[in-house]
Amino acid sequence: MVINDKIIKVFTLIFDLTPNQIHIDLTQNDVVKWDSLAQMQLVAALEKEFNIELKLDEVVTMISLRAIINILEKKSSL
Amino acid sequence: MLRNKVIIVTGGASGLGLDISNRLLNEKAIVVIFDIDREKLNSLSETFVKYCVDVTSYQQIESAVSDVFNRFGAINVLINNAGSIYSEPLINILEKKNRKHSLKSFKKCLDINLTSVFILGSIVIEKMVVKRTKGVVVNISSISAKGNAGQTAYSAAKAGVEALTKTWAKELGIFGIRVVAIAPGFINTQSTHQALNEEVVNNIKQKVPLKTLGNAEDVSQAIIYAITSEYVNGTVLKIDGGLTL
Repeated sequence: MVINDKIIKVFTLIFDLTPNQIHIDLTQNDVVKWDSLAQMQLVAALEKEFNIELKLDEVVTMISLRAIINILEKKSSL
Repeated sequence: MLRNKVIIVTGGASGLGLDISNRLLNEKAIVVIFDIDREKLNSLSETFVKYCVDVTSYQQIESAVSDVFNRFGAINVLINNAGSIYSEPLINILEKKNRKHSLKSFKKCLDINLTSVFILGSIVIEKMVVKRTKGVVVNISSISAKGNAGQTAYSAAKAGVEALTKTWAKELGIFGIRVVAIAPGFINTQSTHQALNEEVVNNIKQKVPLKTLGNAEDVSQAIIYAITSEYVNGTVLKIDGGLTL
């Protein structure tokens, strides 16, 4: 599972992380700024970056980087 | 620009709400009126889509909004117009007992003018987010939001409406949802003349730099502007002839 540059860009922007803080096992619990409001911002940013539309039942499962990549792989040419 | 847009107008069966509803109908929008007054709703043209609902009832609004959504597939604009002016001073020194503002009437005023905006906003905006509709919410505030002697509850409610407007504008912009408030001053409507005697109306006219009351169409025009101007967001448009300058 590869973390591509677009994901790193979104995560650094939304959660104020540095690229070396972003790893495959990152979850909502590890990131102080990852609250429900940031989740909305994350969804909007991912939709824009990957030119996709996420459904709300997908959004609620997107609480780890691994889960996010899984969904993005299904929906885009990640 | 508004053709076939689905627009909910609360309190749309009379007064300013009816004026804006007629204006939107002329623009070929699908106008959905939510109003508590069944008689007035029945008297309106069948070209409106009408729901007899209480805007303070979460259950009634949830059911009506779902029905609109299922029927038309999307909701593009919400106009939170329903409300009721209420005047009562914090302390009424003419009363021998019960001088203090009634808690019951304070809560009732906030329910009608503020909680209703929260109820409609949260239910309709959820539909917009789910459907990814780039919608607009227009909240009708008042110049009383700045604080008006004798209107503790009403001023607090309208200040709350303006706070919701700004908060939602910041929170929902990422989804392309804009939120705007319109704050009318003294408008030449039946309700203004019912609430104020002619002497008071004439005094107000003297205080307004334009020396006249506003018309319902001035408010409707501002609402159309708020809906159609895609870079207007989180602002309060004052339609008061310069009274609050």
